[in-house]
Amino acid sequence: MSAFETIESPTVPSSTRTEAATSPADARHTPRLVGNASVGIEVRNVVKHFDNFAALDGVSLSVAPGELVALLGPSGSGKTTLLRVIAGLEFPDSGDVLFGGRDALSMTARERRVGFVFQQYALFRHMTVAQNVAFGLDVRPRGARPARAEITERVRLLLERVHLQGLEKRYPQQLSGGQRQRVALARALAIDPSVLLLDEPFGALDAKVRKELRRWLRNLHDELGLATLFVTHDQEEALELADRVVVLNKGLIEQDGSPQKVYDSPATAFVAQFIGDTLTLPVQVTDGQAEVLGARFPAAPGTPEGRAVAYIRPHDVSVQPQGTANGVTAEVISITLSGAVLTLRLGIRGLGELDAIVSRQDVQRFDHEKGSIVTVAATQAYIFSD
Amino acid sequence: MIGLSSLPSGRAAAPAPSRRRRQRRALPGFGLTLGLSATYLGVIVLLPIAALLLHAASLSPAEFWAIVSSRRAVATYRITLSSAFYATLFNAGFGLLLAWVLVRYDFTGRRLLDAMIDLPFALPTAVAGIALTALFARNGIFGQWLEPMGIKIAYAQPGIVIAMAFTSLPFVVRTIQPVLEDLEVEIEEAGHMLGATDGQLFARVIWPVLMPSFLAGASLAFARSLGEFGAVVFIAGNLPMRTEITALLTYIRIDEYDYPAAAALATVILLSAFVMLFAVNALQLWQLRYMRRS
Repeated sequence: MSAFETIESPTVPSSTRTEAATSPADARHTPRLVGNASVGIEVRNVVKHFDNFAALDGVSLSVAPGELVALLGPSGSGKTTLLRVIAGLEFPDSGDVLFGGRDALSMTARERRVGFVFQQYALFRHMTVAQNVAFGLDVRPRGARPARAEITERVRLLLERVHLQGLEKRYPQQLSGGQRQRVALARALAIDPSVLLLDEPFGALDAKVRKELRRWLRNLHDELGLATLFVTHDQEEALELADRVVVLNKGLIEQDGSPQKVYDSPATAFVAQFIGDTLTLPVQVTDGQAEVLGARFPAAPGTPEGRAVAYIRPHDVSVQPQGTANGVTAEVISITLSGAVLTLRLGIRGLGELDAIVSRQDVQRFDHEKGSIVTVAATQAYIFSD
Repeated sequence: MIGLSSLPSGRAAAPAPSRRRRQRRALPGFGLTLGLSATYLGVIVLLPIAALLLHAASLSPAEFWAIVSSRRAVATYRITLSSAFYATLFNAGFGLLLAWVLVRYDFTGRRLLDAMIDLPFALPTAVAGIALTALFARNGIFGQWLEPMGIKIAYAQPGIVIAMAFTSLPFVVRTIQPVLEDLEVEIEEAGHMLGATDGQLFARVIWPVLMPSFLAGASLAFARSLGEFGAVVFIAGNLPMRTEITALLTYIRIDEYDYPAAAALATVILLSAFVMLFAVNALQLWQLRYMRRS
């Protein structure tokens, strides 16, 4: 619970985000937080096998300085392996990893100065919050180690930055999940990292804390200006948070583009099916098009004529009074209210059942009780070969 | 329970139930199991200790002091304590190493090695004592080489140390092992990412987590060594003032039907074990202060 108290202040609405970032109080600390010139990450053709299984099968991607990129994929897609390769915790069989143009593979994990936040935080549980954050500075060789007072001051600034001031003397076990996550982040930032890598940063948190931390992390990223790469299996998180989304599946990149691009024009059947809840319908492609629920949509380039699969999002199914529009006739099987929207389960003769998510206003003006007959049409569909 | 009386059930109609409400537990059998455990502990552990103290109490303070501070008795304390100390020192280092190897590396024969750790527990200690004596006696496998070099093990203090070390080895390994297994790899990786060297990682991250169980294991090993009898008597030679341990002197007193004297000596062993266990527990509690929730 206490995670909310301390985090409420930083979660400003996005419209005022820039103002908050440059307010006098913040500007005073920001310059000292990350002193390194930010560098980009470049991954070229990385291949990594575990026994006979290709975790990464030739992956290339880049993250520009100041860019926030999401690595999105299901479990086993190789996304964590890629993150670990970049961090220096795994070594690729072939390929290159460059930090700001310098070969990172010739450096050990210690030398790379990567800020890494583990999924389970990996905090040192026998150390206080302050000791955890100071660790990266304390272990520096004598010559490079800042003076005691300087470390204390830096820890104070970092904890202030992640809104954990006053918790210096606590042990990780005494913190909530969201607080631990921020300790892990402060600890990673303490070493003045050149890039920031986060493994499922919100994976272990409950839904509410997750949403708040998301916005907060976005703000923090904008202020730090580091090249940041984070791994997630949650498409909503990736779309909301990132400047760019890289979709990974079975060790290969399926699509690399802006959240809008990935959402609106999925490049492959996998992306269409992975992003958003998706319904699938069998269709016939003729002349590069296929009819889906009464309307014709272009098939993906290169889709052969004949049998194919259409992917439709429940949001892209429109429900109209019977006979008022083009489409197919369906029967309402069940209705579920989820906040502002309704989920209608529809039965279509010869096709089976599908879900449509509609706003309550849209269906207000006509009968949509259980058992009523309506007309459904697809407003958007993605067609890929079977 | 609150709403029960308002229900028109048969129970509510019955004569008013007693006011006392028993706390309800989801897990049944608490009373029975706790009662059995307490009884068992009382009969097996506390009663004998009480009997021991009772025997010792039949002595006047002056007599008690005369027995426990006699030159021969003090010599046995010195020998027992110093031998147990060396044995524990050896086991602490070697046990830590063994646990580390067993947890950290995968090699053929790991399971066999793992099973062998428990052998000292399974073997009758007298058998261990005889076997060790056979090895280290002047005509034994090791003894025939060591004795000409002037290293006397059997019938000397090193023999006592070896016997104690043999019987108490599993304590250290078996207490460290689970903690080492629980240590997440990510913790070490996090340390590396933050720039720590292997040495710093061990000293600052691994060792502090291992320390409490290491202390617990070492103290158990030490306590066991203090009381070890079977293995030691065969290899020690048992010369009064030289290689006689306190447990043996106690046994000799019993043999002489001098029960109060035996009880007095045993009380000394008991107290020393208690003091040590208490000290180690306190140290452990302090070490594990980070486990407390606010």
